[in-house]
Amino acid sequence: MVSISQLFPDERLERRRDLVIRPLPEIKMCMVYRPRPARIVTLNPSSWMLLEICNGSTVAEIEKVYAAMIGGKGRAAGTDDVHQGLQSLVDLSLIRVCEKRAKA
Amino acid sequence: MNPAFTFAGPAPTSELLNDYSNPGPLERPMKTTLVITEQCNLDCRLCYGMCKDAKARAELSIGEWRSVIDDLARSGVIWLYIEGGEPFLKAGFVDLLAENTPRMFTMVRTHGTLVDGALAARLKEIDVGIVLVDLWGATAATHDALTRTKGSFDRSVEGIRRLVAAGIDTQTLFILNRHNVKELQAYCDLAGALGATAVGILRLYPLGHVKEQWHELSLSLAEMSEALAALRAPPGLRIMQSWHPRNANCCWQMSAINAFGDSIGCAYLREYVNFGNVLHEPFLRTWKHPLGHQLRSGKVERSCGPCAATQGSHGGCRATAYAFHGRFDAPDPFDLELNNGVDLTTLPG
Repeated sequence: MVSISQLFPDERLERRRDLVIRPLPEIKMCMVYRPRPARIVTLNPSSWMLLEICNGSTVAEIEKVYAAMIGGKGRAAGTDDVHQGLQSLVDLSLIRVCEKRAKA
Repeated sequence: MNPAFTFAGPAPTSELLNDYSNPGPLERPMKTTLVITEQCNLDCRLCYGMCKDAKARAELSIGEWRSVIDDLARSGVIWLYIEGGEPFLKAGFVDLLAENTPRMFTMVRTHGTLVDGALAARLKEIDVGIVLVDLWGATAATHDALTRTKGSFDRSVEGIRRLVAAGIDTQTLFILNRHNVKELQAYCDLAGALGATAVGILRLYPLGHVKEQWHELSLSLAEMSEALAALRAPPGLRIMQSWHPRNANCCWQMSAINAFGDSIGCAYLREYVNFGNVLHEPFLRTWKHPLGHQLRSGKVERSCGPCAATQGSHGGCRATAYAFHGRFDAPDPFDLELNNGVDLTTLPG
């Protein structure tokens, strides 16, 4: 999937309200059903975590929360990794930009 | 997210980031096959459901299915794979489907012969996920001989065209056997030309009336492998097949209920297991049947390394393992590395 947009730190992101999220802790994955149009997606723990954080916070805030959740465990995710993860969730229409960045 | 449809599982934690192991037994089901009816308008030689035989019991009504699916949703299921018989012969089925597409990903397997423009438009409107159409040859002569129904090829092809035209993700299913193997390449070319997104090449199972015709229908493992190796996917068409090195043991993620409410683990296990009837007990109780747990565990006598690596599961299909060896933990003889000299053209005993 090719991203056609770029996220900015002050843009706010939120999960779609019609998603059905089915954690699969036994296999350390999460399955997400996104209706209209119907699609089922399996998320790895990093993407799953990002999805859970997207509650209307800004990209910059999400990065901070994500870094705090990771703590010292796992590979430290850089800003680029988080942006890429968020962009993938946008491309899959699992999250959306709920407040556009103010024009400069 | 809609809280009414959210499965109450644990929140993700950072502990999960460091470990990507193979699937283990699920605590709750996430995907269920519903054999919604055994009614059918064809008379297929490849029928596993014995659709034309008299039934000793009544099938679940739409109201009963509605209660069962509510129970499934409460149990954590978010993915329904619905087959028959022919699902579109079941009165009330499309309305039932429409009720559930907001909360579950849905796949419907059909012969496509009943799909007119109005039905295709309705399926698109209600947001069905994928429609899979059984089409078993590249020519009317081959397909109609396997369905024993003249004109069925043309009607199925027309159904596929209507589904594609309506904008529905449409895939075709091809049960590989001695009568259609020579048409496999032409078949995939046809599916691509019709606008299917994928072709599923399925193995033949010794179930229903197929058992009686097994020796005539079944290919040897070498013949199957040769046909698959020679296949070239046309541009834009995805080929799905489960032979080595992509032979999965799907039991870990599957559950299934037949047209009479029996919880059977997988549609291909229909003649071997019965975990209880969902009209009489909650689905989750049947899911926890000891044999169900054993099948999901992936504990098998032998595992094929390359298949385990690609599929994250062990031992291949449990239904064929049982059919040929009489043991649920036996090797799957359809796997090149696990076959061990088993002749697939002859059923044991």
